[in-house]
Amino acid sequence: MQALRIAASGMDAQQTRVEVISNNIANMSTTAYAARRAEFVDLHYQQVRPAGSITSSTGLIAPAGVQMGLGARASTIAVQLSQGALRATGGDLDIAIEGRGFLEVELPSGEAAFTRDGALKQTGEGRIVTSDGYPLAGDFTVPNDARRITINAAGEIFAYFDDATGGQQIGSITLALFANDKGLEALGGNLFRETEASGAPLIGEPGVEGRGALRQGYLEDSSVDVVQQIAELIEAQRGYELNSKVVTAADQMLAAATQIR
Amino acid sequence: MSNPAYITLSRQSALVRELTGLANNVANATTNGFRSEGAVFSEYMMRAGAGGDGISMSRLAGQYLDTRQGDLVRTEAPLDVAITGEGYFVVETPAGQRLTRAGSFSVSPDGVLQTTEGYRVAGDGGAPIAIPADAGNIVVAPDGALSADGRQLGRLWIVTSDPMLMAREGDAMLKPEAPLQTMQGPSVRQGYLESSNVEPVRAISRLIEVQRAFEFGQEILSSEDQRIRKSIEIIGRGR
Repeated sequence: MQALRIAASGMDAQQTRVEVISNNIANMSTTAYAARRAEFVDLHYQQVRPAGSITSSTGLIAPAGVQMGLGARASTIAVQLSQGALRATGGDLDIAIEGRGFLEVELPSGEAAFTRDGALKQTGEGRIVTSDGYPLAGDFTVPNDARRITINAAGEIFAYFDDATGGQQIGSITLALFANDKGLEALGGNLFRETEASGAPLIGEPGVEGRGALRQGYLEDSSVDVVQQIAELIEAQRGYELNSKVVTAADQMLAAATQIR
Repeated sequence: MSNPAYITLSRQSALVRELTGLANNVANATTNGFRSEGAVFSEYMMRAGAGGDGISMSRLAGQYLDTRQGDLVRTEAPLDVAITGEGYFVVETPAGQRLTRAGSFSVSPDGVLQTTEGYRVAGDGGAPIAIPADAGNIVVAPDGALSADGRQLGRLWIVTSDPMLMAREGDAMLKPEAPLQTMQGPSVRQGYLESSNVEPVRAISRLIEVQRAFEFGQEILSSEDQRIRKSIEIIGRGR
């Protein structure tokens, strides 16, 4: 009775969906979190009677075949990198990316990671780091005696000092673009890593060549739409129940079959 | 076993196959671009013709592809496209051209439009669609033309083919057995995905029907068994 296994694959798929939805809802307030979506495809088909097989010596062909499908599986859990709403925070080191692109940070291992979470901080040595303390790529430090710093849309950082009226550029922030954002590997902690599927990062000035502009004093909200997630949760739950109904029916048919005399 | 039992058994095995198909439909009720399958039963004549008993068995002769439109689900992702009405996207796989209605695309590292399984999506005439990494907002026009910042990138190849001659291959793809015809005036929508066209209510009600029909078959089998027992008993007593 294949129906049992097929229904089990369907239940499995719906369970994956519930897990993805619960992760999205858990991250509804995570800065710059991109909602994930589970996508499914059908499994292989067993060709019982191929379509177009010859049914007579005169060359007539069967207009339709018999193919037994074997269920469903998750194909991808795609990151939907859409723009989250910008929230004004007023912080000098809060930056939001308006458009595509990622900030590049350096992991303790020396590897590069990418994030859209622009809630940055300053260390005692004047380095600009993420909330987890990973330094932003780029060779610049904020002088200790700077009164305040500004970051413009093109990523240039200016420091203002008490004894001067104008700002002094101390460095600039670059953004990385990927050919395939969906191919990035999520590391947790709002970080992504480049993979073979994502392609190499194209690093450059914000605001040009498809890269988004920086907005100082703003943070990007999570792009999770809770109402949509709840609607999907209900759908997934009903889908699970429907598959379990198939299991029950297959089981009862199996029980009836064992009573053949 | 006697003929009535064999005939009932042929029906039972066809019903089990239909159950398999129904289970596959329900399992794929959330598979994007999935096309529901229906079963066609036919008669199978045994010992037909003059002098034969003309026993008619039942069998699952074929399945048909339900080509009705699935619901469109709004995703807002720029590379999610759904076809409204007829037509299929063409996907280039190592085994040849395949058709799909699942329009959840992305860009490969070498800058070509691809499916979730990493196969290239064919543009007009089968050429791949190149999307430069620095392309800004990608716009898909209702006729399938892709552009970014006013720059033309190519056009999705949307075709039709005989649905009765399509073999299912898994991964939401169909293998066309008839020649492809470029569709005139296709209609695609950006930011939407077409969900499975399986209607869960219909599938479950048919499931109950199949289950009851199967149980009814079991009843016939046991009453047939009773009949044979009884006749043996009577014949035995008459001796």
